[in-house]
Amino acid sequence: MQSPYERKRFRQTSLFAYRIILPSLVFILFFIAYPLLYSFIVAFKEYKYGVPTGKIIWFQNFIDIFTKSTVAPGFYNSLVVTMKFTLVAVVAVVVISLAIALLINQQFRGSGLIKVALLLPYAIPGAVSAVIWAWIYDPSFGVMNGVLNGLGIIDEYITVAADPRWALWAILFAYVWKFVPYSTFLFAAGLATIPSSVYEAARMDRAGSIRAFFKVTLPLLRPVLQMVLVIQTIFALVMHFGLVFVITQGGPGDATRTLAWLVYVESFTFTRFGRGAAMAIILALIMIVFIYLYLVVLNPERRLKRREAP
Amino acid sequence: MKKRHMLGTLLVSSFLLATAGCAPAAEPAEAPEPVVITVEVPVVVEKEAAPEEAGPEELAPLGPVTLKFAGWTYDLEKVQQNSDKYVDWVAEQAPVPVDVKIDWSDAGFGEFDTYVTTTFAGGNSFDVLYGSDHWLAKWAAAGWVVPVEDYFPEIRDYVTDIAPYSVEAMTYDGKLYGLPYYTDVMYFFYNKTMLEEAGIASPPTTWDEVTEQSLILMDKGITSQPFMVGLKAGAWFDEGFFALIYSEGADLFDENFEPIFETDSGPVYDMIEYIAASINDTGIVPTKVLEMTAVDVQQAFKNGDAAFVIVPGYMVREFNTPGISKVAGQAEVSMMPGATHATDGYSRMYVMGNGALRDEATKVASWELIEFLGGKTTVDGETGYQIAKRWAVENGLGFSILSLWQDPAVEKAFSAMADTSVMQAQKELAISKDGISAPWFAEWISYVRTEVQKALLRQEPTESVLENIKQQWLDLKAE
Repeated sequence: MQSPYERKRFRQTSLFAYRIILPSLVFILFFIAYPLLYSFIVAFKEYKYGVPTGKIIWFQNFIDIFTKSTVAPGFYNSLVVTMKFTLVAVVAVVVISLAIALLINQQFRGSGLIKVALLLPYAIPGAVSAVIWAWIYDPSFGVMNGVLNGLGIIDEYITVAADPRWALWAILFAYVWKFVPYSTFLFAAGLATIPSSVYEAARMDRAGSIRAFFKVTLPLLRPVLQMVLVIQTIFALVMHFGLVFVITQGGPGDATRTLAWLVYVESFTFTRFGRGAAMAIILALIMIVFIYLYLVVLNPERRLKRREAP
Repeated sequence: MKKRHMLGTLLVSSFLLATAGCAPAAEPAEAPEPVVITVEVPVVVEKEAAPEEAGPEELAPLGPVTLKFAGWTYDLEKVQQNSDKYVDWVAEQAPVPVDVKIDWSDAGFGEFDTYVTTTFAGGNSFDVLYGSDHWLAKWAAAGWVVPVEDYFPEIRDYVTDIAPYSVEAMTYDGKLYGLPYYTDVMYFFYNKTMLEEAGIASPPTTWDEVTEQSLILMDKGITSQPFMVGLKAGAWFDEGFFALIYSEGADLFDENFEPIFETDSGPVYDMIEYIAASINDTGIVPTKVLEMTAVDVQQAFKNGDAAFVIVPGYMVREFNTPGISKVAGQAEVSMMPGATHATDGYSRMYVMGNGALRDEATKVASWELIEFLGGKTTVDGETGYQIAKRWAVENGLGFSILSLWQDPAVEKAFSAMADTSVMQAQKELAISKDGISAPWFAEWISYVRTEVQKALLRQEPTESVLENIKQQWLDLKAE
């Protein structure tokens, strides 16, 4: 039972809280919730060439995506490319960033400098880094060719962005360079919370560094790892778009035609906004499946609780 | 509880990230009707009145209006100068004076279609904008640009003065939508000095000769990548691809937009196979052409990397300019090799956006801007295609105004750059892209780029690629 004073105080606190979050709430409503709702509606409409007929066609856009001869093959191919990219990108980013985080977690001369240097790729705007990589890969004057040629690895300048065997890997490499720092700092923050006494206890139990990593570090980092997996999967599914746009435009052929690129092409090149919005919803559903896998299915505590349940 | 909360938040966030921004910002108006303007100014009558009898200064200027004018990024200083000239001219010397300010905006050529699409689909508009043959049908079908001849029938007076392929490129559904900014054709340029070094007396006239001469150049170590044409998926792909297939006499569609090209033989099949062999077998075309635009090819030729290139005519000016080209004085133009020597002709134009119809003053000012930039105007007593001539003389931009070839200044400027007789002869064999007036062309050609690249890389047989291309056209047509 609250006293009148406590109730008044609670009301005042609540009002203050609402006043504080109001600007963010308004921003979210106008710039996120409204476009989201609108794109959801558009996905169920016939909407092409910028001229909305206004006709609700329910799931026809989705049916077309999966069955129409002019759309479905490209869509399925983009699904394969997207999945390949996402799986490799997530694994690469997680492994590399965890390794770097373990390294910078050690105190040594120059570790501060490495931390600052690590921030640079993430601090560069996406479009700028895409242009930088396009120049690095350039088959006529790119630094990559210059270095490989200088080291005697290649005799003649090679093209990676126009070679279907290499184009996706070129995008992937640039992507990993860009997004490793973000995860590295998340892991580094997680590592900093692990008390040194746990490692001391492991040492007393004669655990080597590899055993300590798998038995101490990794289990205690699990919440951070889950979070990094979720964030990196979301990033890998959509944030490669700038690189594809600048470096390959989905080519050569359909080698780098990912789902995010397809959403853009359908919406803004073909002006089939309905179909583009439907594809974006499919992309969102894929993300949700991944997140569910990471947070629910791969959660050992949850599995344990299920086993314990009567 | 907390975890469930977190899961929910993440699911919602991911959904937001994936879907936000994939739909237009606002519901555009219903399918734009031909706009009815209730207040009509007798524009034609006033234009026809002799300036001496009823001088423009006697008319109260319309406006003030601010024209929203958009184009792609190219020589912005000159664009600004031309716009300033127009503002002065339209206030004092135009048939119908208007008090105008210009609100200019631009985007890169490669992104311009997206820029226009997002602008109009988001419920905004432009009054006058640059257009291109491969976007016109899409924009016109969407009602984003309007047929100028519906509002200013005098635009048709220009038809006899403009090359037919250019008129065709600016026409949609039988209506003329604008006047030319510049028009050009894809030419075959060669490096005369390289050929001389290799002991080759004359440039190739067939594609087999291109291969033979390229192999000689490679054998003698003169160049390792003799032949280039920009085939990166994008707008320049279309010009390069059509130039190649037209050179062998390709004909894609009949007058009813029915596909008439064969999928297992014929000019289209042969040229795709030829380029695929040139990339994968003989090596005379480097694979990197699939990530090169015509601008990149121009750069490679200027650097002395290639002996043969297919690029638009306006690039010749830089080829032979000392200081910016390593091959200055060595670039020569030749007729396109092939059975018919035909090539692709393309048109960039000034068109009227539906924003121009919001009031009479804006509509008149928009037309006068289009006519000032693309048509014949009288400025300070001098009458002619002044802006088209300026672009031609100062920048080497091609033109479809036939009478400009007789202009001494134009003749002088072009003959200093290349053999104008060859350029004129090539221009006469230029063909506008087949099927370009179909509203689904932009979507189809985007598909073609991807598919043809697969054939060029031998990821898929040419026959099946052409089957896919044909089927895509039929499906889009059926829609």
